[in-house]
Amino acid sequence: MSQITIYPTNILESGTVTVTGDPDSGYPEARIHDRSIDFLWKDTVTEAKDFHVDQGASSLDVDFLAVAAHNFDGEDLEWQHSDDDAAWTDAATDWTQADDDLIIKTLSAALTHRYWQLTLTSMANPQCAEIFMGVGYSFDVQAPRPPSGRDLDNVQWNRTVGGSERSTKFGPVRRSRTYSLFLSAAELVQFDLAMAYLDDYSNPFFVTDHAGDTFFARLAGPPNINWDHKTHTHISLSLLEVL
Amino acid sequence: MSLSAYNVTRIDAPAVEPIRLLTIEFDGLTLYLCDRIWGSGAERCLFDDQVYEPLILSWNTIDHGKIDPIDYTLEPSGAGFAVDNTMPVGGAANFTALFASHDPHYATITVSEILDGEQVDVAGAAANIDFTEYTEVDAGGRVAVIAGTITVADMALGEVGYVYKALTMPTVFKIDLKTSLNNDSYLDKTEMAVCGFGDGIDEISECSNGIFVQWFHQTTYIMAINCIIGGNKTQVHESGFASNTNYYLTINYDNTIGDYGQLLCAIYTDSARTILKETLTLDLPGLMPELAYHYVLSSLNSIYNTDTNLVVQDMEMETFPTYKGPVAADKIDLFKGKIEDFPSMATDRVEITCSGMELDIAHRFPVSICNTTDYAGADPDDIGKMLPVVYGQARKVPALAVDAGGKTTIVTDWTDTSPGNSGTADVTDGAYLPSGAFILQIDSEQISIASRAGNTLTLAAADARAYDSTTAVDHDLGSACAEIQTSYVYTVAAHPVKAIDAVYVDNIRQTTGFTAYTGQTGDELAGYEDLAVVAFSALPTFLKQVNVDINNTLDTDDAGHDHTGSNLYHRWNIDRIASTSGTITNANNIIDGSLTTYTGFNSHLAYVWMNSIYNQNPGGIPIKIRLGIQCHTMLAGNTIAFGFCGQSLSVGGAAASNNFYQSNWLTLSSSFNTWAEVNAAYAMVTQSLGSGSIGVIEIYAEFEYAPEAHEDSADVSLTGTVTMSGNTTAETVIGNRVSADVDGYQDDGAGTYTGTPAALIERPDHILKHLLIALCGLTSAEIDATTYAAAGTFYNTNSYTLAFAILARPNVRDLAGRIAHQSKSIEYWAAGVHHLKHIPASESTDKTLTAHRIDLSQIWISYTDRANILNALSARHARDWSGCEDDAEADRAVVIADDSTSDTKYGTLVGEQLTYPYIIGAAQAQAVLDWVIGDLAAPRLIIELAGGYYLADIQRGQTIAFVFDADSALDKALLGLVTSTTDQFRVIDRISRPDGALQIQTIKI
Repeated sequence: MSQITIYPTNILESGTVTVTGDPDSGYPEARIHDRSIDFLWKDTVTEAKDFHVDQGASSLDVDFLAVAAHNFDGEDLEWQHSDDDAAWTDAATDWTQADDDLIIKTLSAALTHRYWQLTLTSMANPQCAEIFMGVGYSFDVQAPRPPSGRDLDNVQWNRTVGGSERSTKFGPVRRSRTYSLFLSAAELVQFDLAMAYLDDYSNPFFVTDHAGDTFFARLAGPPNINWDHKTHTHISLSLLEVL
Repeated sequence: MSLSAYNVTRIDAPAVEPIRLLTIEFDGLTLYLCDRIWGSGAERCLFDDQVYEPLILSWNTIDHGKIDPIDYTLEPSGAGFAVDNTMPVGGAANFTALFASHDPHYATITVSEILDGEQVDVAGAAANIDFTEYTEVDAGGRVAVIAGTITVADMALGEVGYVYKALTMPTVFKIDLKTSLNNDSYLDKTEMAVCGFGDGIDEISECSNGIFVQWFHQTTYIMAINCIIGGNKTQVHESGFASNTNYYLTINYDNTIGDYGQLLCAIYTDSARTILKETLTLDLPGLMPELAYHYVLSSLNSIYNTDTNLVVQDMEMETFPTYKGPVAADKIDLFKGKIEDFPSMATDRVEITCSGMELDIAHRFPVSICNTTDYAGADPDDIGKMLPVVYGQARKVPALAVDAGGKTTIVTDWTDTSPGNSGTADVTDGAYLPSGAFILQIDSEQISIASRAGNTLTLAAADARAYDSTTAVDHDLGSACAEIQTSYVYTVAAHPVKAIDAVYVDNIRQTTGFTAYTGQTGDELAGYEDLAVVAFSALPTFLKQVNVDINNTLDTDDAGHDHTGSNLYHRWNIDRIASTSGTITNANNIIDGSLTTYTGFNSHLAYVWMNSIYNQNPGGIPIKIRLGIQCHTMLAGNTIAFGFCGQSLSVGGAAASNNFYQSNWLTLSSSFNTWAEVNAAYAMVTQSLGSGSIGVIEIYAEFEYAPEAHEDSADVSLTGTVTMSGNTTAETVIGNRVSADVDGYQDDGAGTYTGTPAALIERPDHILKHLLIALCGLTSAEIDATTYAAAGTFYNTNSYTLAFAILARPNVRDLAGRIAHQSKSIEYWAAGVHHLKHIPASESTDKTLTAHRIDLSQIWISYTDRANILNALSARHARDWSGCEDDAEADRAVVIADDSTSDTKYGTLVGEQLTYPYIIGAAQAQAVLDWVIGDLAAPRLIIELAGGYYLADIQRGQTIAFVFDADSALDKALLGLVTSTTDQFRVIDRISRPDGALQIQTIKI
């Protein structure tokens, strides 16, 4: 049975974030945790960067790292945690980023630590739109009402007098997914917990779909709940990729 | 508008991916925004090295500015958009938070478009080259090829060898290789290429186009890099290399560096490439065509090869990502303007509307106002007026009296002794007079004034009254008092001019008594630098000194019995040409007072008919008349006759030149024995015999008259008075209206606007360019060079020029429209750039549209209103800018046009008379009027349509035609009202719609 995983929390939002150096004017640090992958943090100073999070006294679990819309191709990165801000432990094996694609790192088990950091070797003009560290909530996907989805285009088609067609593309496609979940009471608690982090369904979040693809998404609408079973709850969940 | 090759490729495809870019230039901050994301990684939302942020939520229609099909006026362009107000931007918490530190109304808005911003990598990683995959041409068997090594052994004179394969040269690549050369014979030179690309299969040096790296040896070992473009080779080389020694080369080629690309070869002596021996750099001198073959070895000029031993090893090629997206030149600017309004501002979004730059430019005309700060002695009537701005050869430009001499009135009665030395006296308004010492004149007495404070004058401590040998007399309260000046200054133009050709006072041309200064360096009046001025020298007392010697009103004192005086003489002033007939040239010259110009008569009975404009009456009774003719040339067998007041003078018969002829005194008949009758008479000069050439310089008429009887006196004294008219001294001394024929702005020393240093700026495109750049502050980039150049050629061919004076602050948009219209052109702004489109006699079609380029149900057809039909028009032109009579301004010529076809169909429909005051020549005026009536003589078909980006390069003013088969879908969509290919339509409007469609409106030509 396939699963989907929702990552509704980002400790960069709840913790205190510091980034080495000063960002370029108009590209503030807040943009790396504003749940928008459209707007960049940038720094023209060539130096190693440390994206540091202090969660304070109450720490959230973390088993997921996403870095979106970056230019870290060819750079060495480290993802670490600490309880004293002095001794750091690798959360994942250090790696050299091979492209500018979305960075996804997941842990086999969630960890709870006060301090987390992502370090980046010195490079010219680093930029990224979002750094997301949080915990995933996974749910089995029902088979009888199989996952469905389609890509939503952003294309306008016009037919000419002569009968040919032309298209005007206003943006890339977006993925949409619809899942049917059949949750036990305990799973429903987890689901409700995940939804609670979405601020009345207004926040986008990262999701790993049934095929294992991770992307930034939002709810296409509030989950549709059917209490048609004595011990379980049917939930229909529609997701729409956020660009 | 010409599109880049990249854009042409993009819009020709049915699928287009536009990305709108918005630049907001605040004072000290520029925001780069876009309407969506594109690209990824380092190229995310990146265009032309600038990150654009997707803050634009929506667009309104972009109106590019419609050209009115009836009067050709241009509507301003406009655009609108909505900005996300929730995101931090520009260092502020959100968009509107910027307004606290950046005035949004100051901002300049530019809307642009790029097509498919995505970068496409055509990359290949570094790869070792396997030489065995290459083709070997080696008739002499001197070349040995294995996978990583090519060895040349003892290649001899005349032998050819090369190794190549078909491989298109990448646009950016790096090749590493190792090579050595041994040519120890030293008897002759050898040349050998070790790597390169060429466009053919031969020795690489025989290719028409190619690049390569080579060894060369004769007495020393040399390495060189070469490019061949169109058979022409360019080489860079360095010597100092050793025989039989390995060198490690890194060859870089990048076609994006410089104008045409760069080839660079770094030569190291170690395999790690840390010890650099030489760097060879060659900037390609021209565009390199595609090179289809890669050479890893090639003899170059086989006749030089002697005992050549060479090794090429370890060649590795790396190609780099090639940017396939749009570059800066591919950006299509749609709009440039200023923020006009915020229809809605909320926490989540801000809606903004903008007006085009042309509205801003409309008020950028610099105006110099005649004011009392700069011109303390200005004529009050001229204060507040704009100093004229003049283009071309403008006639009778009214001058402003900027130093006219102050004048006011005394407020008490003066006796001939009081006030006296050091005394004081009040005037009505002292502000018109200097505050320091000056000479004042009241009636005919001059008074020396020591100073003025407010309205109070303090007379000089000594000899204040009866100054300069005048006589102290009583003056009545209210008598005019005025400052005596030595000169009076009139400003003809607010700028230096090319020339001042003639000066007029009250429309009478002056020949003496003034100095004209163009304001050009070396011809400036001190205190009036950079201004074109006329300075009249003044007599030491008030006299009407211009035009009339002294137009006095002399009285005789009644001192006794009647007395009859001797007859007096009066020279009659003939100053108006009423009409001419026959072959007459320069008719005015016969009465212009100049002895250097003449009127030409060249046909039998040709005549000039003249009279006097102003009433002349010296008093008494006219008795006799004497006529004079100053001839320039007289061919034998011709005579000229001058008739006036019943008398005539006929001269000629024999050839003569520069002869003066004068009649005897002839007694006037009873028909001409009063001045009223003389004033009513016309004079006529006729070529009474022959049809040869006669030149008449001047004609004269002189009257003998009996003065009025007056009472005799032993001591007859004359008390002259000059009526002080106007409110300045100058108006009394000089006249009411001073004007000048002016050749206006001249080009700078570099010929920036005309191409010719110091040339008169009079061609319409030159005038517009100068107006917009020099006066209104545009840059040359904001003038469309292409349409201006085409229009300039048209103006040159047709000898179109303009001449005008700007006498009041103009709206630059309207002024540009008038200049264009009177040059048979239309003008428009596109994204802040001014375009000028001339209307040729015969139109060529700029673009044809087929059914596949117009969207379904997006054609709207109408006609111009019947009420606009006119088929009989006239237009005045050739303006005298200060008028030729008493008019404020007057046009001296008229052209007419009618359309008989329209007249037959609709009846005669006469339009209000048009005026083309900027046009001098009748041919130009007629061409413009013919163009106008051609457009108004019948209702015209208006077709509006929408389509895709195929319409992107269509600009207003251009002509299009539709191409379709009879009864096809397009034929039907056009309602059968359009003839395929033949019917031409001019584009008069262009709209960029939010849905990505482009909509144009056209009108049938």
